[in-house]
Amino acid sequence: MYQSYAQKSSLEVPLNFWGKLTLFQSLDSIRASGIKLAYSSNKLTNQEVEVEKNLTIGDFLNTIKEKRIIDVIYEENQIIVIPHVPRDFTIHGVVKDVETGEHIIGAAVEISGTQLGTTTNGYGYYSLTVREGDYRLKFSHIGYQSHESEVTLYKNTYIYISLSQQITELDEVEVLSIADDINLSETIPSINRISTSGADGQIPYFLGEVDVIQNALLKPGIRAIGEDASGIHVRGGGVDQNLTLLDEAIIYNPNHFYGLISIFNPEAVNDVRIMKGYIPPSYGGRSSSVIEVRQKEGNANKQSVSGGIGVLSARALAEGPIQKGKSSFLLSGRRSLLNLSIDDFASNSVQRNRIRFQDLNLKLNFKYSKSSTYYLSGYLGDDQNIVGLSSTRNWGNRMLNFRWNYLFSPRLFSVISAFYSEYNYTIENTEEPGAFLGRSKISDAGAKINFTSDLSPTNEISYGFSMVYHRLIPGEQQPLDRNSTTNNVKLENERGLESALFLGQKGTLNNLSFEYGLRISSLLTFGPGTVFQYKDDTPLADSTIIDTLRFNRFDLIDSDINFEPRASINWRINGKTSIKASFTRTAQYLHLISNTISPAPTDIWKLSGRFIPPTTTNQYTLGLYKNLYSNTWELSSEVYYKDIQNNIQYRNGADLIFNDNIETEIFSGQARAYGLEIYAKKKRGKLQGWISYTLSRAESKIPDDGDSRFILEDHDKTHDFSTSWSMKVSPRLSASTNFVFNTGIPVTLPTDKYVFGNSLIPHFQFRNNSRLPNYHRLDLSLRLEGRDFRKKGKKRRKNKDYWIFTIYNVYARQNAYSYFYRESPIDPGTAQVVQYSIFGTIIPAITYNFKF
Amino acid sequence: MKKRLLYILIPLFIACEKVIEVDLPPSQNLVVIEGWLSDVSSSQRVRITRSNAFSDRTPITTINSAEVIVQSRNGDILPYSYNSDDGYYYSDSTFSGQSGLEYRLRVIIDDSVELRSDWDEMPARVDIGDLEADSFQDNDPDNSNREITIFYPKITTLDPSESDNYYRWIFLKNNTIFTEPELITIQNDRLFNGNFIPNNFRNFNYSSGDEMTVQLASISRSTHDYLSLLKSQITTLGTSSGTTPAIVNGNLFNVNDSGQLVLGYFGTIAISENTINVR
Repeated sequence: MYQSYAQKSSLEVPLNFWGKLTLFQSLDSIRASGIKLAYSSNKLTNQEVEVEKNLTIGDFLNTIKEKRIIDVIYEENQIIVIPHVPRDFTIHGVVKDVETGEHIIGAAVEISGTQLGTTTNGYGYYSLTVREGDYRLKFSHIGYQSHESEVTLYKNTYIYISLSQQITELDEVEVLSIADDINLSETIPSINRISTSGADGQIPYFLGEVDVIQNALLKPGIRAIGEDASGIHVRGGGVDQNLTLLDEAIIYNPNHFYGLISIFNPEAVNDVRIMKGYIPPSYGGRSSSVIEVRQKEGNANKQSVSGGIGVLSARALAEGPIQKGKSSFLLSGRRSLLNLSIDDFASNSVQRNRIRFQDLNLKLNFKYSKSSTYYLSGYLGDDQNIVGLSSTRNWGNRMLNFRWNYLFSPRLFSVISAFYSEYNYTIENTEEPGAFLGRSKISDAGAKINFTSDLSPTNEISYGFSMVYHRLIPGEQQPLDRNSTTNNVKLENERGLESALFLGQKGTLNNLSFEYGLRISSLLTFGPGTVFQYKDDTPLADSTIIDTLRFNRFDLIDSDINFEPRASINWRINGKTSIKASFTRTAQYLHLISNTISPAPTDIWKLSGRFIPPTTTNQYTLGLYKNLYSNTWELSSEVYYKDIQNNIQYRNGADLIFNDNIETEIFSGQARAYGLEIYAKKKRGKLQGWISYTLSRAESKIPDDGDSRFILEDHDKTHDFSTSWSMKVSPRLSASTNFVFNTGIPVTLPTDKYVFGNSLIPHFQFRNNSRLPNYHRLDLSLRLEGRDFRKKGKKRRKNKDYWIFTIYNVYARQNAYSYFYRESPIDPGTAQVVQYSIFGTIIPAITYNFKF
Repeated sequence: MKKRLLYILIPLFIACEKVIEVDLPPSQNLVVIEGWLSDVSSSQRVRITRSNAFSDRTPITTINSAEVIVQSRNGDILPYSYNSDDGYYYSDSTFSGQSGLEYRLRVIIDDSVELRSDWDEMPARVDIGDLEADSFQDNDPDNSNREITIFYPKITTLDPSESDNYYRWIFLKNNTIFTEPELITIQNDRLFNGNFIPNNFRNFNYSSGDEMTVQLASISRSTHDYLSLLKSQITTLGTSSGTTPAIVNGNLFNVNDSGQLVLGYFGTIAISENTINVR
């Protein structure tokens, strides 16, 4: 600031006055000491200033400048004193958990007495740019004690806040001070958040396992087809239409154990965010939703070990600082305890099917400086299924992700990440002489750069690009050893580069906030590869192939580009109510090839190409949000309509195994889904929980039938109700319960039966012409905390532990999973409809958990 | 210990099945044809029936007044006549299909409605190879403390190198054919082309003293696809690995009214057989 001022040394001269005097008196005294100083007495206010002893002229000018009485301009030969012009400055920083040092996501940062505020982003970082002045900042988050801090803002200021967890004693009257109305204030609709630190994130499900995906299935619009079916359908979309991210890496199969538990070890997961309506432009590649799972960062302040053991699995987690306050680690493992099976548990034959699984999670983070944090996270999962005596199937996801959060300036935040992720499937058959080893794999290497720039508290832009190189090995099989007589068979590998450029803006205008953006995505597929050419205007079939095009390494086989506009608007009617509307267009370039009702681990993925165009979806959402009783109750009601183009459908009897022209077995058709979702959540009090109801329809056209009508999708459920409540009964005992009710899924009932090859065959003329009976189920669980004090003496125990007792399917309802049709064993020649239930009985379980 | 824990868990997991009554849509009463023409010199046969309502407890009815012929591409015509004893139509003379030649079925019902199959080419016969009875020990289903020895067919077949081969395996125990739909065994040589195909048919259980007969029927690709769809429709429905139920389209059609569905299949098979006594 003094650079251009020629007489810097004169600023070092001590003042010849002190004490109380007026501004003009002090400036005149400086002028009298021979320094050229100009000011206009018309413009400045001649207020009283207090001057300390032993200040230099420079110090004095700075002091009154900092007090925002004047601004000082240093020119070459003179100093000009002008009235102070208020300016905008940025308050920024991170919000952390005081105990663990982990960043808190979604914490509210508000300026008391104003409408201004923000929330910490996915990395615990916040930034607010406001006019200079004195402020009172309030930091709050569910489950934490809120914290207030005084700020005198006359320059960009970094404030890092540690919040301590709220300890709610049973008798304590809770002060409802936390302004957790994020559901009203955030611009975008249709987000579900599950935090494993909150009460609702700790509800146990099947066999006492806490699971974030099972939890999500109790939220509106998120469904699985049945109990023994892996894969989730979000708002009528397919199971391959959810972008599942673990930290930043793509996960292709998030299920263990027939979908009854997810691969996300609850010990290692911090929170899950599911976006099912509006999807921000920085996300893409899947049509229906984004399921973003973040692992915990690891406690940066002290070491701890926690874990648990239950009927299904045992798990343990160790975390702690590497360098206190600066870097930390987290390492967690889980494995199934028994060789489990559902399908044929009743059989004690040696040929029984056995299943096991294990997970390993790792996270390291290193806070290099105020503006730079590095993270490394990894996951390794393995599922094994031994079929009969000699066949072993293994599958699993693995990923490694590196992330760098960097603050270029207080208002420019960047996240740079790079990941490698793969999903592997192998089958080993050791039976001679046909012993073989088969495998398929999809691997992704990707990078993403995302910048967020806060132009003002009411204007934020973000932009960036992402690139993922997909390499698919759809299938290969080779002899296991030299004695084997099998051939080496291999389908061609596929390679594709999926990239996207995205730009978005977030803004606020009075009580309207909006967010919009554009994602430009593309897929380039490369050789080596073979593409068949088919006769025009005939169905694609082996018999209509007229030519074969061969592509060399790096030759471009096909390219696709899609413009995906996204927009969302929030009209905050008052402090309790808001209305939101959004539009999202998405393009999906990867498809899971599966024609079974529920996807199998063996299913392969396929890139879009000449004959399989990308699936595109337009989704419209409109919602009304209301909070009651100081945000204790959160209510929402949303309607959505989804129009899906190039939805994949399969020919009857499609042959998908080792098929090198799979395009002859599939069609691209139209699908649509629409519905109404109602959600009510009670967030505080002794009794907490939620009620969710969805009225929906999902249907598609099957071009194969030559029929242009929409037919119900297999996963359609008209009414879907679920509710979950937990309650603190005593300081050591809490109870929770879940209840679900839904319309049975569509089923195709036979019209006729006939005899072929001495077997009685059901004939199905009309697809999905009926429904299974309604599904309902009640689960209960109790959580008993270990004693806080040792039996003898009053010493507080260092370790914490608790037991969970659960009962799944309390009233032992035999919910129909499916129907099958068979010849009566008693009365040959007549046919029977048989209802199959996966769990026909009540299932109790117990788990023990500890932390020390 | 581990095993004991496992057994404690078993009752928790028992899935359950119960026969239920549901309102079913009305019957379509469709014509169903099943006909195979083999390369073994014999009286060839065809069966023509009508489907009835799924819940109907009366037996399937046979159509007994149809005119039935099999035509070959080289102009031969093989007429069939109805046999009221077993409800099948038999060729008027013994006949053996000729490898490489195409055949089709023509049926006239109700005096004027013509039903026809697509042409199906008789495949070349593939030698079944050596048959052995191998065995494994399993828990006796009647007494879990006892083990029993179960015999099963083990066959290694040399697949011809030149072309895509499709097979159907047929098993007989003491001259009685295994007919359970889940035992429809079809195979192709995608993974074994030109090589030995080793097969251990563990699902076909024999005891010591049984006569074990195995037939290897070479079939056309379309026959293979039809049987594969048929099998999936009757065995995997209702499981999570099941496909959506669908019409099992065969190779038969109504010449007069293409909108009228004809169920079933007419195909050619070239059979190679081997028999042993299980000891």
